[in-house]
Amino acid sequence: MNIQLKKGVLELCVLSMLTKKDCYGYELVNEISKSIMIAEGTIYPLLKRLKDEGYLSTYLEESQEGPPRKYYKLTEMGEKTKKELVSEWYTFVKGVGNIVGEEMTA
Amino acid sequence: MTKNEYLGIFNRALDSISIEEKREILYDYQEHFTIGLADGKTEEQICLELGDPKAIAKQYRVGSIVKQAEENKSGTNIVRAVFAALSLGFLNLIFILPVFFALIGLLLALYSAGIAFTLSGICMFFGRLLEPVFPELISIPDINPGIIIFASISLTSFGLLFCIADAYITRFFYIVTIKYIKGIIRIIKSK
Repeated sequence: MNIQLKKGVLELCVLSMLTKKDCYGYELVNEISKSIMIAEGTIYPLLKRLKDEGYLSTYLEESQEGPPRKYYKLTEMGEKTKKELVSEWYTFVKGVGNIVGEEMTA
Repeated sequence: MTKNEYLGIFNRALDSISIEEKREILYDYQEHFTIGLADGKTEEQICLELGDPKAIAKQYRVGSIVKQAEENKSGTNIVRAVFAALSLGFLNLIFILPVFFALIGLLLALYSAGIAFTLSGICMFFGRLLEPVFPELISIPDINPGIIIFASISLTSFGLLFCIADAYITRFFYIVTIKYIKGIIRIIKSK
């Protein structure tokens, strides 16, 4: 899959996953890399950027297996942006589908 | 590579980032290793999955410089931010450099105009006043001196206002540049 496309889409994936539930870093990395191939280390800078810009907030939660885990959570702005990105994505996919679909049948 | 080797390289590569930010960043990766190991992975496996620590550190460094430029507006900071963004990759160069130079060029033109107006007004004023004293050196059109004086003051005032407007425009361009850089970093895949 085209690397350029992946970069813009990663944000959408992160925001989407956090809509369902709050996650800690490793969880996000794991889940996303099940569906698309990514360099796992690049998720954390993305998370930091999203947090700095106010799309995410973080909190620590005690864990049985060691130090407290840092959970990421969508802010209101994050929710709103996620909806916009999802809608843009579907429009994009539909648009490409139209073009590619015509190519296939021609 | 072991976990400590990885984190060592990573920590050193984070370099100029503030201590608190470094701590927050390293916490994420420490946590990642801890959970990964508990998950049954080896340190080497995790290192490979994470990817090049220097490349990741670079992303953080650039982010930090851009954030600095956003929060403390200064000529130094914006230039550092532009260069940081450029350092990420060739595509960034193509998208950022021409735009940045265009904005600078525009600003120079605007400041030159402001200064030119101001100086013209001042020269006209003193020219009118001193013409009787140095008739060979100064030539002023044969119009009512009062009009010339009035026009010169207006020109000078306009020039000064123009320069003040330039200051606001500079600030605006600064903000636009930062937003643009952030957009490019977000969207364009770097190296």
